[in-house]
Amino acid sequence: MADTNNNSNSRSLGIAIVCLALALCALSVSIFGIVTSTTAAQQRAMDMHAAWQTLQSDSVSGSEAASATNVLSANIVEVPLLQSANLWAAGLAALSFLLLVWVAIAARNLFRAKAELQSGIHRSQDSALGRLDTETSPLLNGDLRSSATETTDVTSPVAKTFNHAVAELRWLVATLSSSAEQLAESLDKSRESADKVSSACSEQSRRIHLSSNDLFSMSATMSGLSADAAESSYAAKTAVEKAEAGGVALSASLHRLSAIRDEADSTTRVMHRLAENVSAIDECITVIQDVAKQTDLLALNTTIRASAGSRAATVNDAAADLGRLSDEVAQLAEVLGQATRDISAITRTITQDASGTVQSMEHIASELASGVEQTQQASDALDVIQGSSHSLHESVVQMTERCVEQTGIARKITESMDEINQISDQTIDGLALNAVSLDELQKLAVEMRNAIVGYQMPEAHRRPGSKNSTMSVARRAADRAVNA
Amino acid sequence: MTQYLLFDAGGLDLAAPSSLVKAIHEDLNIQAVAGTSHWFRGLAVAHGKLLPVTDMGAFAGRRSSSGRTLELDPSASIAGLQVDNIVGLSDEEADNVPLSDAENDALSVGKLTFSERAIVNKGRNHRVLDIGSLVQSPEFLNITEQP
Repeated sequence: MADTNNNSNSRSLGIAIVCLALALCALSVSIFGIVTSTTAAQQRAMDMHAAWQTLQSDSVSGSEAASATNVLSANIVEVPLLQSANLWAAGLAALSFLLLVWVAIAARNLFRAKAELQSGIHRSQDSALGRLDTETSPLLNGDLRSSATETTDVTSPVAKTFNHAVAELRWLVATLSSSAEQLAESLDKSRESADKVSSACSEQSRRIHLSSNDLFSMSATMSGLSADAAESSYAAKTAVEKAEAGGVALSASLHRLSAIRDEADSTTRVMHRLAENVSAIDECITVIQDVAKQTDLLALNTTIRASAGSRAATVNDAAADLGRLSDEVAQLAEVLGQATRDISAITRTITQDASGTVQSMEHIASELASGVEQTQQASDALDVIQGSSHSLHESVVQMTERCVEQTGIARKITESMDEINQISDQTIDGLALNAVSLDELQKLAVEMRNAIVGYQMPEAHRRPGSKNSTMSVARRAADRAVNA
Repeated sequence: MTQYLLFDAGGLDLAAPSSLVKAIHEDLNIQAVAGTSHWFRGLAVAHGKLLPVTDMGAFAGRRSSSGRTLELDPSASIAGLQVDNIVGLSDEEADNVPLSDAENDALSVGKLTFSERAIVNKGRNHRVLDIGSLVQSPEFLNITEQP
């Protein structure tokens, strides 16, 4: 409505301004025409006055009369034009006057419409403020359902700000409500964990009591085991005494065997020497083989020379051949003699070594007989040790059975201890959950503080007496927010 | 009756009259001579005298011999023949025995000449060497290394 009026007034004001401009233009043109025609009329009047003066003089010539007559004729011709211009100027002036009158009337109407418009705006603003006041007043009682209508008038920014603030307040209240619920759940969990810890401690106490009973039983078994150990100790002592006797016999036997080992070493050395002598005999045999080969060659040469003896050129050549043959035979005889002496020496050595070996073997045989006797004594001692070992074995068997029994008890104790450990683990888990719940509580407290630290709460919300009502309103708002 | 010394050299069974062999040497210290043929082993000292030694196996175009050395009687020639093995002496008469394949091969590639006679001993035919012709032949006497 107001916009329509404003548009109409603006259109009327435009038309009036255009008319005013036209009127001013027409007025200017008419004034210019009047001034121009007046100037021209004065100029013509002066010209006509001059021509008239010329004609009135006595000494006017014909030409001057004719010129004055022409001037007058020309001015007379322009008079109608001046009259027409004056008429136009008058018309335009009248038109300007009319336009000015119309502009004045339009201005008066414009001012009147403006005044009406201002009064309408004031009325509309009053109405919008009243509506805004009506819509926002429930918030004073904590009713977050209120909202302001967002229109196009001056209250629109205020209504938007109000709605935004109410929405933030709803979110804040919803957050606080949710945090309070989570806080309550965390507290419940803490209580449950505490209950679990309490029951676990009770169970742990009962298990420890059972373990104590088992330990008592194990102590009694250990007493019996101790008695068995005493018997085993006596049997072991007897076995040790017999073993000492057997050890003495074995030591003597060991001594004998050591002597036999020395004799065997000596015999081994003799056998090594025999092997070396046999190797030397092999070398002598090689020499004898070489001698045999040389003898064969010598036989060949002797045969050849014997067959050629008859063909010898001189007796000296045959004598020289025989001399060479004699030398070679002598060398062979010397080599053979040396080999024979070596073999004889080696044979004597071998005979001596064999004799020593025989004596050593006889000594070894006597020592072995003595060692067998000593070993027999050691065997007897070992038989006694065996008997003692049998009794020791029986004691050990009994001890083993007790140990098996103890093992079962120990297994039970171990199982109980495992259960105790599991309970302890559960206790630790419960404590860990408790710690986690406490951490969550701390986080929630920090979150709640951060959520309300940037807001100025109304005075009514700060009073302790209105806490329940505020919380209930906040809880409802939170429920609505959650449902939304 | 002629007595023969039986031996082998380069895989060939040979025989020589024992009257033309002065001695048999086991280990002669043979010194090689430069510029001589490969079948000429070198010079050795036997009974205080120089003895030129010829490798009979190589001279026959066969593998080289490495055994004892036969010193020829000075009435035939002052020469030594190195052979592989001495088989022994034989009093058997020589018979006409045709040449074997190995002997024909040696005849074609070597410088040794064979007679038609051979001593048959224990199934082996020992071809009788003509020592006189051998030691007088130009091939035996020319010990210069051939290009």
